[in-house]
Amino acid sequence: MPPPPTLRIDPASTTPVYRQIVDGIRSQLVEGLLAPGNPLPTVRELALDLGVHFNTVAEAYRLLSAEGWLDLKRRRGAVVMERRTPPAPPNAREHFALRLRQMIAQALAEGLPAQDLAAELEAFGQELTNEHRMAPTAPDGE
Amino acid sequence: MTMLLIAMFAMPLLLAAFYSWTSRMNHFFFFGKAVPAEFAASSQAKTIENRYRLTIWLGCLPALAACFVLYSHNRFTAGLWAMLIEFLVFNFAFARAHQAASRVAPPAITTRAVEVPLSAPALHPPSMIALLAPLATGMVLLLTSLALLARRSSLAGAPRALDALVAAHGGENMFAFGMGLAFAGLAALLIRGTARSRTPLGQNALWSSMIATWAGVAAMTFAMASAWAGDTISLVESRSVTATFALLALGVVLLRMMRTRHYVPPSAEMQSDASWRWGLFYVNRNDPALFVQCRCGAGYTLNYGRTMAWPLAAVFLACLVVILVTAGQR
Repeated sequence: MPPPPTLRIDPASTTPVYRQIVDGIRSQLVEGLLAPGNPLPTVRELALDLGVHFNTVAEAYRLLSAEGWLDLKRRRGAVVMERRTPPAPPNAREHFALRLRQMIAQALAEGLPAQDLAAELEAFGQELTNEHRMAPTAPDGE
Repeated sequence: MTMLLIAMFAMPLLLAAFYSWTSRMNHFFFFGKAVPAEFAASSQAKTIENRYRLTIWLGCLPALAACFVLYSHNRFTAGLWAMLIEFLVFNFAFARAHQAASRVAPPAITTRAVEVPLSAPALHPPSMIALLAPLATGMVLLLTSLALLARRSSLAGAPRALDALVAAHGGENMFAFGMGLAFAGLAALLIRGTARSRTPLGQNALWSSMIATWAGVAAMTFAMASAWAGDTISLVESRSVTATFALLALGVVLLRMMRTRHYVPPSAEMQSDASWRWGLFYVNRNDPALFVQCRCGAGYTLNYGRTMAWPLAAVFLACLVVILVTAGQR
């Protein structure tokens, strides 16, 4: 049984809180822990639970809604939507590789051993391959 | 008379038992402070804890003495005065224990990360509509009665006429009791909208408040219906029904508390030591919550960093003073 979906943020991090909320929820959505039709807490509830301003959560929900993940219902919170994966932009792969390199450089600079990083990347790659085999996603228009 | 005497002396004893019991339920903190688990199990910590519990039971003595003196002077509010004395003594003892813990405890290793569930928890607090239902029912009943009375009464005003009508039929105690319990519903509405209520404490407090509000509405309806039907409620009947409703509400609260071993605080409040003054007052301007889980006893306290907290505290204090000063003699 998969673990219940939770959202973890670090108010002391340099990453803005709304960005942490977007990234956290998107991860759960991509991994399938939040399925279409699942309700999310209301903006008010989530803001209170996290101890952040209501506008911070509202902004995060708006971004996820713009990406097509959430259906925002007035006063009734957000509901996860069925989303078709859009076609990747032409330079998406280069952009991803650049971001990954930057993240790896940051982790190395913070003192994380290269072996640990490599092991983590390998495990993640394996996980991704398995998931892709189990649930292949058809690109838009196919 | 004997029943009243027992109730008055039972109230301070119940409050002491509540504070002693709930200090065990709040084991996530040691007197309002996050400490390493090893310290909480040390002999130093046990000494602080035992001293606090001893103060609680010793604090009962002056409260019971005050209760006895006031009762012998025919003061109806003797039990409430005793509880107020206890409340001050217990909180002072808690603040002292908090200071002692802060002096000797090493700082706990904490992370500032906050983790919250995204799906609905297995137990959930009642919705705003469910909380509003008993209040709205009570309000509709009250307003209908006032409107009917205003049409047929020659008295100065409908509220006064209703008061007189209910009092003439002996239901004034029950009516006042019902009104008192209806305030539990108002408090629950405030907490549901402004506190982190998806917690064990939230479930217990809000469900109990909802049941207490329904009990209050039932008591008010009973008193109003009897008055309209012309049946006079005797003092014994009034006290029996009031005691039944009060015991029912208390029973629900105790049952829910016994089923919950510990009040796990919400993640955002786990590491907010810096925002607590003496472990009693929470002041955090950046926290949107108006009510937070208190670390002394069990329940909610105001976040004094929010502007709304101050008028609310003033209203609560004013109500307390009015009840204590103006409540009639026996």
